[in-house]
Amino acid sequence: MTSLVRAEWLRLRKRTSLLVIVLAVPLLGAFFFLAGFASISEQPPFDPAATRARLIAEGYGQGLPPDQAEQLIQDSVNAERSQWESDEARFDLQRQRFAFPQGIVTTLASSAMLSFALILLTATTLGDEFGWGTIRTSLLASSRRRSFLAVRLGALALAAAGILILLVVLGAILPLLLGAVGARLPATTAVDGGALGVAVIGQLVASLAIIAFAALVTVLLRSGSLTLVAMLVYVAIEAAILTLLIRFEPFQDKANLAWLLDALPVRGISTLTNTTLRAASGLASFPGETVDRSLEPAIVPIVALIAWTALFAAVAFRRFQRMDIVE
Amino acid sequence: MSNSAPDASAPPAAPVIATHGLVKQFKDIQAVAGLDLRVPAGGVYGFLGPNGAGKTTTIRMLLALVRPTRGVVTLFGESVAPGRPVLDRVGALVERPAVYPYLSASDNLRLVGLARGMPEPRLSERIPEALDRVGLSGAAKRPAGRFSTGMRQRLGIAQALLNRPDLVILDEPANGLDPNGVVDIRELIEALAGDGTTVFLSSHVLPEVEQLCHRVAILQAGRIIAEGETQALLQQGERLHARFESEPDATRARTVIEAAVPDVAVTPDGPQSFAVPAGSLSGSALIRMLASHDLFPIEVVVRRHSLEDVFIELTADPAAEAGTVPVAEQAA
Repeated sequence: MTSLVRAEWLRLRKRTSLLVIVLAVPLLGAFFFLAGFASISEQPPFDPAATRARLIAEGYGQGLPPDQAEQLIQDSVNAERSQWESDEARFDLQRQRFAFPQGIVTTLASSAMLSFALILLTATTLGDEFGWGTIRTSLLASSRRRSFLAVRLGALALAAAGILILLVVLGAILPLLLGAVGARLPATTAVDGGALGVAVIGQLVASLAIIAFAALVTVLLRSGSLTLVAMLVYVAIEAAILTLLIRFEPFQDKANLAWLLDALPVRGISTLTNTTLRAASGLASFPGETVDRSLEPAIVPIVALIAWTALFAAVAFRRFQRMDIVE
Repeated sequence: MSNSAPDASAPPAAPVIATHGLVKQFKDIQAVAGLDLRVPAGGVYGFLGPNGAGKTTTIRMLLALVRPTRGVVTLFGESVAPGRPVLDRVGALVERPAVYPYLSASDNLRLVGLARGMPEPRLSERIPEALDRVGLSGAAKRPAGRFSTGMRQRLGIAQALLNRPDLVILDEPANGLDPNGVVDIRELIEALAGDGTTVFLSSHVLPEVEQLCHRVAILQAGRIIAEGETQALLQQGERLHARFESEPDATRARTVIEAAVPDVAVTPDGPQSFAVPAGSLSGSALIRMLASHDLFPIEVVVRRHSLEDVFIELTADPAAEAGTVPVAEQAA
């Protein structure tokens, strides 16, 4: 097994395109992090005198007795102050997501890119073995098919873990970087370490499910490009199933069978990510919102994803073990 | 023929390759239809057949790349399936070589060696040796994706030989090689056989096979239609050709022979000549027989068939295609 791992390391480390895919996720994560921060509006400090002067210039209170005009202008100034404070609170809340340690949760939220990268990596590394015919070379060198697939899937799982670690590190470093260049970062609430741990584990479980599914599809279709198409088709099919089921009462909101929807892979990954990251962050989307930090909604997706991973991997291994290598 | 044919006086060793009732059905196509094959240890064994005869499918089944629909494959007496250790004793080149295009020739070999469990010191020794053996030393660091077809073929052969296997299976090793390359491969195969390695060679280059192989099997429509020692197969194809001054003499001579030796197959060879199998009648007997009927051929020659002639003759025979030509008798 050690020699197969060494062979796999040689196979993967010398392939530049794979390295590009692996590094693209944290790089894009960093880009979206910085772009997200830059997109938050920066409003000038509220100046009551200037506001008052502007209102008068705009004709506020004209034609009214002086005391009524004064009252109207004062009310308007207060209303604008209130609006400014409300906006400022909202922007402050948005900025908090980019401060340490909330930045870690923010970078982890770019998991859609991670999912896509893992599909690409799995389809490319396995699909090209069929496309180039090197699956034959590899299995002639060592006919232990299960070991070959296990090492490949293990390498992909390690890549997923590596990307996740990079995202966490980025989430910790980028706020410091923003602070160093003078960005205004407010003090933020602490992150729930336990929930963050569950979020990372959840991302890893989701990654394993994606790798196992992509591997199964690639082994069945013997093509990386067809796998990419098939994955898109699957997402569309699951969306259609969800749309259909949600019309029936038992699947709506908190009805008896609603939890079943979270057992579907794509919906499960989405629920798992949203639930765990929300629980870890605790930050509201808008001032006054009560954040549900319960991890309970993550239970069904995480159990279902583990089950899906086991099923996909078992079928992929069985198929790979029995398939004719005609490439 | 290879000078490394096994010693005929030695007791028969267990076959290196044996198949029994091997069948492979791909949906509605039967690629291999009940193949019984026994390849003895040592020497070079030729595996011939027209395109689509089932050679490559058979080779893939020998290597556990393809699962037989029915039947048994054994190598060195052990049954074959993915993961069986006996496959570690085999090196193979199947059809066009498949290499990782972004890896250098040297790294492609390293990868194969690592997958085979070869330790690093042995790899460091064997990789330059294997590259040198196939004439790729100068291209060791070049990415295999930039190789010509012939260079890829050489690299594929180097992959097959890397761990000095006991059995080497080569499927069309001369594909894409220039004449010098073909000679190199022939010498390489001879050297392998000389070292005691059993070489199972599938090739369309029949003159090469004739020179190299001490035994051949000819496959058609998924069955063996002829199998045996190459020399015996070639002798079976020897013909006595008799030519006469006139067509009536030739026709009369044919009648005389057919009457005297009823089982003999007399085949016309132009208007004034015909041929009979050399095994059924000697040249002197033929001349005596004809002379007793006042028939004097102007020329009687023994012509030996090449393997190519035998191959074309056998594979063009509809009876053989139907699997009705006795396999053992072909070469016995």
